[in-house]
Amino acid sequence: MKREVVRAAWFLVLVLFACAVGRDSVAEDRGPFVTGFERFARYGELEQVNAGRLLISELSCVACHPSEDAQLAPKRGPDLDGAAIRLNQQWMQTYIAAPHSANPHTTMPDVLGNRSEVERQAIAKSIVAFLSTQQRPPDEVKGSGAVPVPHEFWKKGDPARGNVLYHQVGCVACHEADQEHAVASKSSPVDQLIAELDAEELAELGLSAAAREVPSVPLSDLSAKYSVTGLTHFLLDPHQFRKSSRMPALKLSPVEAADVASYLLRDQPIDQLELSEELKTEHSEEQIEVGLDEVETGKRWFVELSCVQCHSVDNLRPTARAKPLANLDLAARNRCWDSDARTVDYQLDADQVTALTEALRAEQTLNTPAEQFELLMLTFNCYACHERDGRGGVARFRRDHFETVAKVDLGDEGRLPPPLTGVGRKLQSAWLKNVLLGKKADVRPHMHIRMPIFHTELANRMPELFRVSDDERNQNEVAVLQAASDSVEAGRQLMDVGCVQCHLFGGSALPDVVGVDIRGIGGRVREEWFRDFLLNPSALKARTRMPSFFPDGISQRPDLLNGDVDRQIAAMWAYLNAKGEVELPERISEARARNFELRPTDKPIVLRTFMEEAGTHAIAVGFPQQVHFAFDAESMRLAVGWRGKFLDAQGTWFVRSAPPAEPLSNDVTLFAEAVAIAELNDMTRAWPQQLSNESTDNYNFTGYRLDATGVPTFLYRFKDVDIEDRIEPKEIDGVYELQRSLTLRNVSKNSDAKRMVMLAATGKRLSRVSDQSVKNETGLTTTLNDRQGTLRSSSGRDEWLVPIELESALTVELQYQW
Amino acid sequence: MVTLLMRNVYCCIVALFGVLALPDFAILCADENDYYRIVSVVVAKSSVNSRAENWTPLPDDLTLEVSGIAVLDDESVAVAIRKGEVWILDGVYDDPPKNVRFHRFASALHEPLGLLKVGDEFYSAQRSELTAMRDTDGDRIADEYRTVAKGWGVTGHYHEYAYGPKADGAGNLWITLNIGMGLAGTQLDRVVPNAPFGYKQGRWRGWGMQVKPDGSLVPVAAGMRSPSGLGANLAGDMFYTDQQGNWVATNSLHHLRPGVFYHHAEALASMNLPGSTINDVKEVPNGLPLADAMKKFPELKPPAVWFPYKKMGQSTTDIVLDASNGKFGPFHGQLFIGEFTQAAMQRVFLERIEGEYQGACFPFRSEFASAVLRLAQGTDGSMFVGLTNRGWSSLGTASHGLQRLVWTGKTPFEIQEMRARPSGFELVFTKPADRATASLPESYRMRSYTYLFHSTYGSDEIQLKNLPIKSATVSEDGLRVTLQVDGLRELFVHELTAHCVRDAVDKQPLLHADAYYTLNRIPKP
Repeated sequence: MKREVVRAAWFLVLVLFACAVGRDSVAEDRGPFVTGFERFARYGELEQVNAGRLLISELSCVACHPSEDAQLAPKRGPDLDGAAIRLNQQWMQTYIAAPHSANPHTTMPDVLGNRSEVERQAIAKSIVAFLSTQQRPPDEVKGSGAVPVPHEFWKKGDPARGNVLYHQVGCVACHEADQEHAVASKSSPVDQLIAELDAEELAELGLSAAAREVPSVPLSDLSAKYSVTGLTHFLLDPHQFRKSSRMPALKLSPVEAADVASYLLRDQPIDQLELSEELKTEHSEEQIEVGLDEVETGKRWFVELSCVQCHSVDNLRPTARAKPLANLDLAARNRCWDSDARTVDYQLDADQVTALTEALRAEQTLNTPAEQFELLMLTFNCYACHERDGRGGVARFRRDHFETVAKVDLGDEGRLPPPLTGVGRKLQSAWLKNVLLGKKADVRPHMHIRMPIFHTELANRMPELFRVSDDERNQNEVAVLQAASDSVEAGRQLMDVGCVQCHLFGGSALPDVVGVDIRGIGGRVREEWFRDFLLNPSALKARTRMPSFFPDGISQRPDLLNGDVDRQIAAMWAYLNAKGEVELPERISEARARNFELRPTDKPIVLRTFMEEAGTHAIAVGFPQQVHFAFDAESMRLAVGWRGKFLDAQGTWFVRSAPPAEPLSNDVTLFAEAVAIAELNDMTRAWPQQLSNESTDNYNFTGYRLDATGVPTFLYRFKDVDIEDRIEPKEIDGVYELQRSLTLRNVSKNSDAKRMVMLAATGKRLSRVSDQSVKNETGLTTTLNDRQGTLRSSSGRDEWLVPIELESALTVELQYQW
Repeated sequence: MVTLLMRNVYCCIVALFGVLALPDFAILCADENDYYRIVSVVVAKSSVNSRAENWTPLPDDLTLEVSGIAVLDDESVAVAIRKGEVWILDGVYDDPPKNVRFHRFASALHEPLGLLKVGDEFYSAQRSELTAMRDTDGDRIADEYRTVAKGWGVTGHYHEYAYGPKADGAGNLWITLNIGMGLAGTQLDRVVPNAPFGYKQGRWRGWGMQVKPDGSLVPVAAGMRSPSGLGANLAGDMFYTDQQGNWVATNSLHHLRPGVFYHHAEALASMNLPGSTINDVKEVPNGLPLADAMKKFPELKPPAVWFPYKKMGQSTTDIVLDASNGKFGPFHGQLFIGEFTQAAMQRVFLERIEGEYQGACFPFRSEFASAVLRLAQGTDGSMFVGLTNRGWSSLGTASHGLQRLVWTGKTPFEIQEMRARPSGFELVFTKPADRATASLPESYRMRSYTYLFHSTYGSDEIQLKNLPIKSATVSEDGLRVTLQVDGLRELFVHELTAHCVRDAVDKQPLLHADAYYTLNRIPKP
């Protein structure tokens, strides 16, 4: 009883809501809602024959009346194998018994003819009994590290988040928007103009269509119709339940689908929401047991009344076919659109009957690609979002719901889906297919509205139709840009002329720039279009914000490639499509460096990282004096020194793949691949091999200390000798070189002096510069303070060794110059 | 069967009418937030999608990707962050935290994934070593970075994270080492030479290690894939969590003890190194149900708790003990587990059967702002929750941050404990249950399943069986119910749903009606 009250109250709310938002509701006396028909045919903007053909496919005429004409393929209805889980039984009963009362705009015909109310209810009841046995659950949604799928996510939707998503991702391009919902954007200039003009002026300017409100695709009574699991799974993947679904998948994550479903079902009584699946499952089990006859009866009706022609369920096959479409007698009685039709009743209105009759009367003609194309665009309502050749696009008032993600002003171009005029000239067919299939083809992450996923059949047909419609020369994938291989760098420099202001390059951009990423643009855009677009953007895309960087065909950078425009465009193409890693445009590179380049100013900067030159235990130290080094803490050695810029830390700090850091300089010197201090029983013994985790040979790295100036001293121990290793810049003859101090401390219990050796320098070939100084073949000069070394050749290299007699403690100093 | 189903419907309808009879539907709006409130200390302004290759923080954002938390006192905590710094945050208990002060204590760590205060030093495991940091000159900035322990393999592969340290009851420090994945190029120069089964892994990769006071590394147990969580229970025993993937059927919680093998076979690359606690494994089964695999591979031990995939999260992380004696609600002594992908926190009850830990997990709290990586209990009993989702994905509104979970003082109606019994389970509720619903066997449903031990990524639930509840006996005080269940199976997860149980006073359903008990052993009568 309580439940009934709740529901009645809720219906009242819905009715009031429907009245309140009646602005663009469809008039009551209109027939089934077919979006392309409502938007264009009603206003004489479609050929009658094409309008009629649209109706034939959308009303699924060919499901019963066979036709050879592939373009008339019927839309059909949803698969009902999971009806019991997805749909409310009470709603099914009401809907089947009287489709047009339950949903005045449905394209499903009433097939019960002039049967009495009692008969209608009885037949509906048996069909519902049959459908209640149809319990195939939706496909399981797989979770992964990238896809969060909370347990029973469909029960956990958040209507508030769903509200935001519903108005953001594209639903309201077709469906009714909640007018209460905050409109984020300023109206576009076109809309402002439209608002100021009267009908006559609009007509004069050819803006009548743009000024028109476009009726919403009715959502029917979702709360009465769907279980929350049913609607959530439908939103997630409409094609799973409707093979030729006109509604595409909006790329919702499982959680988002649950959010939108909970928003759309926000008025559903709570009990239905909470326990719908459980109760339904149990109820239907009950009915299987108690109403087998009823189920069988329902199944018979389902076939007999031709429901099976459009709905796939329980492997039932259509048994009868009506008269072929081509042979229909248009003058006969009991046509499907007659109000007293005994068989099927679509409740078509006069406009629809006229269009349909025209189409049926028309000679079967082979359609031009352009006509086929138009029909597809209408059928799948591409026009809801995209304008093409002056038709369609996101309609007035609906436009106001779409924004850029960060509310950056990029004009309509940055917040509304792109026009499709000439797109077959622009895009590669393979890319277009990926766009339609939603395969990693999102290039406008700055828009809230999403390009949805369409089914494979459409994705297979559409790109070719685009191409043949738009490219009269029919030259697919012809190379028109002849770039010399050495032009990549020129192309990179040309990016700074303007591209970097609005575009991303492989994910990198100037601060606050949002826009299309143009790195690898050749994977989607055709060369010829690229060239033509650069030369004159607005000729190919009306009202684009992209300026021409070659005004009057003249380059802004006469210094590059002799200012030759063709060669420059070819160079840009070559740069953008260069394989492998390429350097970023200079200005982006500089901006990025400001964020991630470590620039020591007053104190040294230390960074532990991976480095090719210093291994996986690298400790890099950068100095304000612009001379830097990295210490390898695994093998306890000074590994590499360099002058100039220090390091970029982005990879170390923020990149998951942990790439090695690289010296930002070419002025690099490599040091000995060995520890500096060892014990050699006699001077002919080989120096210890480079130390590693696996063979530390009594060496232990124990850390580092920073002094008051921030200079680290590395600490390691060899047996009972503590070694302090300090490396810092020192000015020698006006140049900063690296000075190294090795302090050895004998920490053994006994006070015997230890005979140690220092490896001061190595190289393929060492030559003496002075008594205290040697130079190797790479140009690295090592100088000892106050000590003498001996040169020897060992293990295929030259070594400069310094014997050390260690009593308690001593310090050895050396300098490196290169 | 039909009768049973009918009764089941009836039970739920009875419960429903109870619900609908309430004046304002209040109970249906009850949610986790009524009992445990999330307070945002710092939450990133940057958006949630940080899986992108080129993710960068907003320029003015302190990238507080919390990878370690050390609670300091009633005012402040220290946190390690993934870019390699340690920050001290004051004013973190303020509610709302309007005046948090930030102070950078240490820097230049290589992706540290833990933080522990020991004396006047902060310990943190970075990629290549366990480091202790100390301020020796009183300026609150570390100037000594002491290498406490090192020597595990660091091939340069990104997946070779090192986690910890955490201290067990005896004061031993523990760290865990991620397995590498598909090493290539120069990384292969650093693998264990001539490793068993030809596995290519760095030293001690996939192992749990103890660090002795002298800095020596003691390998304890092996077979870890992504052991991002460590934590001791009230008894001081150490546990770790693992994450679903190759060789790991689903997320899991394990007791760390010598000589035990958990999941990932490639950890056996270090089997023959000196100090290994696992020897002479001749064969690694691949593609067998867990129980059969254990017969062929005796060192392979089941987890104390499995977290069934999706139902109990998708990536387990940190482990924290509620040792607040009630300041965090009715769960003193239980473990709480971080959940990365679903930005949530789970709860675990453990018991010992024949000396081995096993127990149940329960959903606890969702809706954190980002992936939960680190947990620590504050001095007031509240839980600090460290967030970062970079590199993967998670629910939530932010890419990183620090939040705090505070008990509101209201006791949720929850299954506090789920204990194994020789012929079923005993449930202990946090408050008395309504006798009518709690004593109906139809108020409960149970099924059990196990997993495959195999090298592929994750396992389905296999050998699934529904188990009839024979009876439900409620204790005098309404706090306990004993379920008699037919067909218990050892080493199987026993999944319980108790949707129709109501509490005695408000007739509210359980806040979380699902529980998952890992029944490695059935207690003897």
